[in-house]
Amino acid sequence: MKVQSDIPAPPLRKTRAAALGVVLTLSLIGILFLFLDVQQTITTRYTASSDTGQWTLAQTDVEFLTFRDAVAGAEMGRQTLEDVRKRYDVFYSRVMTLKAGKIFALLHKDPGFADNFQKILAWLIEVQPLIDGPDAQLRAGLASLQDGSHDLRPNVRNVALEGLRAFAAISDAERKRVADTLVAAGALTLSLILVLLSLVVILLVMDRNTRLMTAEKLETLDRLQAIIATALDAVIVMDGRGQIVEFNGSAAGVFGVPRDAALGRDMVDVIIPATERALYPDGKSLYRAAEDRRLSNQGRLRLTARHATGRLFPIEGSITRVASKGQDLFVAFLRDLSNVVASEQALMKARDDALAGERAKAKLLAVMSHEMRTPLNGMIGMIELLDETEMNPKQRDYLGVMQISGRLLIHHVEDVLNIAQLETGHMPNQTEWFDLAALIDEVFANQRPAAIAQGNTLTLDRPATDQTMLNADPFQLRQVLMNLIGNAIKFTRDGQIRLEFTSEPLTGTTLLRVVDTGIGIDPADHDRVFEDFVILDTTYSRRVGGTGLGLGITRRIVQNMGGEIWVESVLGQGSSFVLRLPGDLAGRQAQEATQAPPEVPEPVLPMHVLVVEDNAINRLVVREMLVRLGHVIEVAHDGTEAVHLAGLTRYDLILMDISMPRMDGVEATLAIRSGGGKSAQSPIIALTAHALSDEVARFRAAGMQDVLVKPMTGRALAAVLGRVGSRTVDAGLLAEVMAGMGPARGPRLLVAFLQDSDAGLAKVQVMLDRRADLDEIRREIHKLCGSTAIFGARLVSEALQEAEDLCRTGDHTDVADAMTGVGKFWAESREIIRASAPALQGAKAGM
Amino acid sequence: MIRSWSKKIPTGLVVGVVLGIFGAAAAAETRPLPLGAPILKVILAADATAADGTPVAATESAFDLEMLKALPVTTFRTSTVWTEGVSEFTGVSLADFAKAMNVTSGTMLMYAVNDYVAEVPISDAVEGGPILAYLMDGQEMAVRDKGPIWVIYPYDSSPEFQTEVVYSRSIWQLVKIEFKP
Repeated sequence: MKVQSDIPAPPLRKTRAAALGVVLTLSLIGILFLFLDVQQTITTRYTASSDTGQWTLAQTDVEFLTFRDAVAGAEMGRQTLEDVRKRYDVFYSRVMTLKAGKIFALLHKDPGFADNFQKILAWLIEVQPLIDGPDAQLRAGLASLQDGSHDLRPNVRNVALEGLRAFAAISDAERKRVADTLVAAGALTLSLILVLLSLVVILLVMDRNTRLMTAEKLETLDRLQAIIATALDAVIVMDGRGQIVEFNGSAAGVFGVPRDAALGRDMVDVIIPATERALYPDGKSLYRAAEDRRLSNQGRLRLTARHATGRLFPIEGSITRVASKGQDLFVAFLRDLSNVVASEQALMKARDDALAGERAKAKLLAVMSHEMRTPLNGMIGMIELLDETEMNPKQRDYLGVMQISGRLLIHHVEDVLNIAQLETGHMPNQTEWFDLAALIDEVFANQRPAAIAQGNTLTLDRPATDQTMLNADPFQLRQVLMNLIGNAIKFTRDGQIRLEFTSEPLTGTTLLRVVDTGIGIDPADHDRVFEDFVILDTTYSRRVGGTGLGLGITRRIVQNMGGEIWVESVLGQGSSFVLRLPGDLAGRQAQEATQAPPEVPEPVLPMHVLVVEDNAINRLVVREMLVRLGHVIEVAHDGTEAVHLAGLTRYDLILMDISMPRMDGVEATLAIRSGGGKSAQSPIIALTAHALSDEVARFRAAGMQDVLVKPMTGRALAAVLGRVGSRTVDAGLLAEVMAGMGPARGPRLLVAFLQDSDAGLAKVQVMLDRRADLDEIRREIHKLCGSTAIFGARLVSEALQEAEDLCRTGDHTDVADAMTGVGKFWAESREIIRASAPALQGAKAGM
Repeated sequence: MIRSWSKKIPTGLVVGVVLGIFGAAAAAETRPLPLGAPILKVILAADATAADGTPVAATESAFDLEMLKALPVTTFRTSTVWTEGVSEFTGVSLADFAKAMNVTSGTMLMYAVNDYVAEVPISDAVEGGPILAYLMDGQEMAVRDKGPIWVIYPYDSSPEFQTEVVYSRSIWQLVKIEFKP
């Protein structure tokens, strides 16, 4: 915005002004010169005294006549001779004046005048001796004086007349010169007046233009003022010193300062709170800050402003510099951001609220799952235990129904938990190579009973090639297929359920298709079926049951795997759910061998287990299960008690409930790990309904090895025990031996034991190879048997015992076979023994 | 207006003839007679009232050349419109003369031998102003040479003295001065 403009004068105008100046100056000089000339002329005329000259000329005649009178008077005795002499002198003097006077010099050039004057002069000199002579002579000469003067009279008269005529001519000439000068002065004055007149005209035109421009400028200014005044933004104009020169209505409203009060004040004083003064000490700093932001594309300047009432509020704005006639003006456009910031904050609050809601939901789900699982845990555990008691067939049927119902209930709870997990993106996608066909067979095997119950057949259309290996998360895919096939079975009666899969090398994906001949889905509902809690036919679904979450979960899992799922269906003719998963199918040879089917864990050696659980039913379930597996149990009722017991005894395993009063499982684990008690190194397994993966991470961070999700099944427990416990080494015994030897001697003896055993086994092998005496061999084996038994290598010891027996009953080959088994067990046991003694870690190299 | 003669004027040189014209009081005046032929008659007009409040009669004095010469002398060189070249004029300045006559205001009526009269204000009688010249180039002036007394202004010193009025006041063959209030 340019409030004031300074249009530079065009060069033409400058030249014109200069020319005008020159003309005026020259005219003035000319007029002054002429004026001086006129003044000089007048002065000259005044001083030249032609009037005096004329007087003198006239007096010449008068004084000549007076002289003649005196002569005549003396002749008649009326006047004295002195009078004659005096009058002669006066006349003489007058004539001399005519002769010498400067003003008469011109007259002498006139021949008429000069002739007459010379005659007068000649006569005066002629009669002078007579006048100056004695009285008598003068008296006698009076008559001749009279005559002579009479003759001279025309000459005197002519001198006067000629003189007057000449003076008149001179006067005329002078008059003419003065007139000429005056004419010239007049002409010059006239031209000057003309110049001045034209100047006036020019000035008038210029004035008119200026007035027009001013009016235009005023109009522009008015319009600008109107814009500024009606602007919704606060507009503040400040001068170079930061003082406010304009403050519009919006500014007055925004800052609560009336315009008149703001004008002339420092802008920073008016709008910036004292706390921000350090940042913006003056108006220029404001401008620089705004300019920096603008130049660095950081948007507009944002700062905290102060309202007259002291209220602080956010504003945003830009500041422009307008240079005007060497003076800087700064125009600031400012906007009150209170509302914007308020709505931003409202939005942020809404988002936070939503997130908090999400967290609350997740928490609710976690709590719910815990609350539901805990009693379920008790129920299912008890049903399992009940199943092993003696019952009549009817009771067993009832128990079977209870078991199925319980499983279904757990299934539903897990559905909900899965949703929560998928929703928070916590479900990991752990891919590995597996045989897709095998996985489908497994699912079919699982679902077949249900299918048969509905009168359905399950078929797998294998591809022509043997390429059935897929790189994906098998657990997630298993769940997806279970859901889809379960769904298909539910909605199909006496029909077919077919599964086919093909590789699409072009897109690098694998397509799986679950086709049924069921009731089908209306095309309008094809998208809806994947939404949560959608149950299309309520009457039908009542019959088949379900939460309406199945397909929602399925789609989430598929998306989690990076794939997509859709449905193709005609109402009444069946449905086809299509899965597209990333990754091509590959041949079995190209891959590492498929993962072995989960084997039933071998029973492990009895362990000393501490069960930490506050719930009496759960405690009972776990206790019963462990006892049945042959383990020794101790129980703690909460975390505090667990920490106390763990400090006193070296347990082989601690099963730790998480949710407990006083001290929860995580805190207890941390305390045990850092407490330096006897069980500080013992494996700790979480026993919890908190199955969310981020929870699991928290447990691991606290020092737990694994998680057992409640409700716990015997199989799950056995699997965990298999991972922790040992089939070859009695960990409890080993720990006791080590404790008995003490921290200094124990590790040393253990190293010696390991070395001796290695050496002993090698020696037996050499003896067998040499076909040494079997009794010799038996003694050697016996030694080994004893030491390994002492250090808890129970399986090795037992195998050695067997080999020792064979030395008596069998031949070399039998013993060698047995020793091969011993070697296998020893390798395993040796690792476990070494790992169980932390102090040996440093001696590893030495072994 | 009438004061006793200044004591500064030497008694032997300053001789004034005071003739009672209007009253006998003039007879009491004892002013020495002029030694040479009187060349200038000076008339002081009667004042309505004198300093002592008594009416004062007009007085008439006659000056000879020696008396004029006894007054402070002023000399300057100037040209005139009536003579050729520059000449040296010597005389008593009108200022000194008026001071000698104790006159500070009024006008002077100056009479020439041919009865020409000019009226000169006392304000002309200033330092650097006109003189009653009695010497021209060191020579006394005869009547034929516009003598014996010629009122000369220092014409060359200023254009102010080159005006018609000044020329008309430059009386030659001066014979009488009449001081009027």
